[in-house]
Amino acid sequence: MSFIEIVLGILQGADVTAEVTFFGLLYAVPFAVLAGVLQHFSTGAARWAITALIEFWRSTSVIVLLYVFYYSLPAFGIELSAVAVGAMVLGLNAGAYSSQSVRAALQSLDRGQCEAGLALGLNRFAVLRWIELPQALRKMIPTFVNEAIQLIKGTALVSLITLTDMTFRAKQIAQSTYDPVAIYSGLLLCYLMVCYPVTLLGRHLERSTGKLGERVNEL
Amino acid sequence: MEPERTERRTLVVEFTQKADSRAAVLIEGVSKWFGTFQALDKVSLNVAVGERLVICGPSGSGKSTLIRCVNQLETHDEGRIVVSGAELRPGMRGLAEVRRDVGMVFQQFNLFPHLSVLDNCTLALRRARKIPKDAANQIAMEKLERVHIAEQAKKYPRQLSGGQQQRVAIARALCMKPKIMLFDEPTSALDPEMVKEVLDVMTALAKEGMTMICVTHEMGFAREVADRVVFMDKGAIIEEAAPQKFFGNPEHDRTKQFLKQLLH
Repeated sequence: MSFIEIVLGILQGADVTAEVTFFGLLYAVPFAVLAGVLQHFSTGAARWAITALIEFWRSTSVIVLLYVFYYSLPAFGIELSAVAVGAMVLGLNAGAYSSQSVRAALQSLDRGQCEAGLALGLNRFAVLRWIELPQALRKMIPTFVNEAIQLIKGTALVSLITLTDMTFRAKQIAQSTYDPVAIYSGLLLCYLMVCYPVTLLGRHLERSTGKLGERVNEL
Repeated sequence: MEPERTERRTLVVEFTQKADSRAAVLIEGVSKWFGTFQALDKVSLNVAVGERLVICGPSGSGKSTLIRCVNQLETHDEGRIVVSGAELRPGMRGLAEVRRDVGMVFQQFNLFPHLSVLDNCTLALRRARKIPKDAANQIAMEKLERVHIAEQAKKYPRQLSGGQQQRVAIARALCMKPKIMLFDEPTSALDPEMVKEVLDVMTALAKEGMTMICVTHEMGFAREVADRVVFMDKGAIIEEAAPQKFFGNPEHDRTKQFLKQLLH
C-alpha cells in the first residue's frame, strides 16, 4: 500500500470524526453558555449543584467516561449508540471547560454595562440576553475555537468504543499491512489536515472579532 | 445645628403632604450603609415636577449614592423614596417600569460597545417597551438630532469622542421619554474642551422643562439652570438654596469652604 492509499484509507473514517465533532459541538456550546451563566448568577445550593455538574464533566477522564456510558449503561437498560455516547461525553467535557471561560468573560464585563441596561428599564434577563452575553461571547470566540480543535482531536478516543473514525481506520489498516510508520504518520497528517484549517479560521475570527461581533449583534 | 435640622425635617414633611401628587421625587429620611460605612444619613429631599436640582459636594459625600437610590441602582436601608407616585422597595415588582420613567446619564457614559449608536438608543425601546423596529428607529433619530449627533447614528461608540458619546448617552435616555432625568457627574470624565457641548445639551433640556437632578461640579451650569442647589457632606444635606443665595451668601462654613476650593 502506498502512502497516498493509506491516507485515503484513513480519510474514509473522516465522516465519523466529523459527525462526532458536529454533535459534540451541539452539546458543548449550549452546555458551556448555560452552565457559565448559571454559575455566574446562582448562589448557595444552586451554585453548589451547578459547580458539581461542571466539575463532574471537567475533572473526570474522558476515556473512562466513554467506557462507563457505553459499556455500563446497557446494564441498567439504557442503550445509547456509540456516536451518541462519544458526542455527549466529548461535548460535555469540552463544554465544561468552556463554561469557565463564559463565567470569566461575564465577570470581566464592566458593571456599568448592566447598570445602564437596568436604568433603561430592561429586566435582568434582557440585560443578560442583549447586553452582557453578546459582549462575553464575542470575547470568547478564540477560546471556543480552541475547544473545537481539542474536540476534533479528542474524537480519536471514540475508536475505543467501536466507531470507525480516522483512528479506527488506521488501526484496521495497520492490522492488514504491518506498516506502522507510514500508517501512523499518515494518521497524524490527516488530523493536521482537519485541524489546521480550523486553527486558521480561528485566527481569522480573532482578527475580525470586531466586524463579526458587529454583524452578529445587529438588532 | 441639631434644632435647625429637625425644623427643616418638619417643613419637609408638611411640604410632602401638600405636594405628594405633584412631587416627581420624594425622599424621606433615607439612610444607606456600605458595610459599616454610612453613605447616607437620614436624607430628606423633594423634587417637584419640572424642577432642576443640582447636587454638589466633596467626593464621598453620598451625592452619587443618593441619585442612584432614586432608580434603585443602590437600595436604601432606611426611609422612603417615592418616584412618580410609586414607592421604591428592595426587590419590588414593577421596578423596571419605574426605571423606564427615570433616565440616567453616567459619568463613564456606559454606552453598549457592541451596538451602533442607533441600536444603543433603540435597545430598550424595542426590548422593554416592545416598539417595532421602524418606529423605534424614528424615535431614536429624533432624539439623536436633538443632541446634534444624528449623522453618527451608524457608527459605534468607540469611534466617537467622549463628548459625542455622552450626548449619545443622553439621547439614549431620552428615547424612553422619561419624566425625570438623573445626571451622575456627566462631565467629570470628559476632556475640558468637550464639557461645553454636553452642558449645552443639558441646558437646552432644562429649558424645555425636564425634571432634572444633576450631580455636578459645573457651577456655571448650576448658576444658569438650577432652581435649587443642594450641598452634601458626609452623607447628609448641609445646605439647600436657590443658586443666587447658594453662591452669593452660603450659610454654612462647610459650604463656604467647599465653594472657595472649587472657585480657587
